[in-house]
Amino acid sequence: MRKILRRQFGKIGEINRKYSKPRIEMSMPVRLSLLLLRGYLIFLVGLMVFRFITLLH
Amino acid sequence: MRWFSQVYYRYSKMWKIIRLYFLIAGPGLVVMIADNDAGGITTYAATSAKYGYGLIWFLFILVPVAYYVQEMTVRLGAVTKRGHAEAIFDGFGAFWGWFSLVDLMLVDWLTLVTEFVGMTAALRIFGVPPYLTVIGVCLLLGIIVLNGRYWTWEKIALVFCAFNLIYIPGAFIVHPSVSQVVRQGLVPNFPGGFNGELFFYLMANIGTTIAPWMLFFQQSAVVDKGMTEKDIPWGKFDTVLGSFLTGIVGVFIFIVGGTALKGMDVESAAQASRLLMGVNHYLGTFMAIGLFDAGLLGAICISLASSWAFGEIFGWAHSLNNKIKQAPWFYANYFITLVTAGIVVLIPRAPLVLITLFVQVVAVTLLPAALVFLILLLNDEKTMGEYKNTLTQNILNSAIVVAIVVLSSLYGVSVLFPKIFH
Repeated sequence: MRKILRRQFGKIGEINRKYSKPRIEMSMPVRLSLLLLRGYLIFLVGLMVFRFITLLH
Repeated sequence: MRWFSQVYYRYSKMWKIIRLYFLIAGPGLVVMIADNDAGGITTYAATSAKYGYGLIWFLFILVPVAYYVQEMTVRLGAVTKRGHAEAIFDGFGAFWGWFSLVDLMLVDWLTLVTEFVGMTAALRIFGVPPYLTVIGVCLLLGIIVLNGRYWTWEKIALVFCAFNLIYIPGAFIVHPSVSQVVRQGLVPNFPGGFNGELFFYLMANIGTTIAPWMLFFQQSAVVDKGMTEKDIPWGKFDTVLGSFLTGIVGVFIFIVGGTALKGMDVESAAQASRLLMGVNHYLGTFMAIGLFDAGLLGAICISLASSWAFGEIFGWAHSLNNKIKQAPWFYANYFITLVTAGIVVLIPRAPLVLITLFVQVVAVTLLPAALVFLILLLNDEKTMGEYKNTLTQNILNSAIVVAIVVLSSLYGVSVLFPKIFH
């Protein structure tokens, strides 16, 4: 069982290598979309952390 | 004689088309009707109790919105033969891939918990203890997926979809005034004026119409069914029909709620069922059966969405056409997700309300990402070829995506800070 699980976790590295490079051409609109998405997610996570901290207090 | 042969020819041609549709029908219908899950029914019941028929028109706007978003998954799945998770990994790399996969797993599991909450609450009305509901549902879903054929699973899911139409006869029991439904419901208006509370309800209705699991589910289902480019028109029709039916069911729930529950404070669909029992025993029973069915349909689809996604990425056999021995990890993932979500509902004093709220917040983190990736992938000419988005589709879909992202984000924020819109 441990062997099987270890093999599955080992696959994570394999997956990371397999998908290390995005296949989609990183044109300006794509870059901009991904940048906006990152900003949006950082904002949202920040908001959640803020809410969590204010709830604790 | 000539007239007779013409009629016969047309009849046999029509029958052939219907039979062909029944072969292709499935993913669009199932995903769209399952969209009216336990959370969706609760939202519709609460909205109609609050605003009567006043927001029925809004559901009609959501029908094409749901269609345009889901239609993209049909094209992407049929052309790439890949699920949405794999398409994200492949298109945008491991970082965005893992983000989507882990987020999907979390959202799906939490949503599954809410489906179990709905199902146990519905059957409790008939005196069935929650543990029996959880065991029964897990066994039933186990039997459905373990038959070893996608086709059988899909047709069983379609039977449960048919039960979702139970709200239609329910609406006739309450004898609504058709003229009032038309006057108050079909003419766009904001009952009581546009205020924070109304905005919250509108956002909640959008939140139940487009959920992240739906994108992942339909694309994977299209792949598992083996649909190809030539099946795209049928897939689109399937999705149109599904979105139309889900809208119709929503409208009839609004009619039931707007007639029999108007002015009452409804917090859950189970509470609505109990209240409706007081109005008419059959009506309450229909509502409770509908709630159970909605939860079951949601559970059928959501548990599969993450199992398919994990199978795609980890390279496990991940088709419903595989037997358990051929795809042990796929089925293990499926049952672990299902059983653990069911167990949570049975834990005494489990924070179920918090989980229900948390689902909406976590879904907001995944939905914009999944939608943005969808649009970008549909614009990749190398992969999509002639099936890539046209300019009109891009304008329409981008407008829908921006609107959904903004409104669902505001909804998430309003869940985090409940007083913000009140």
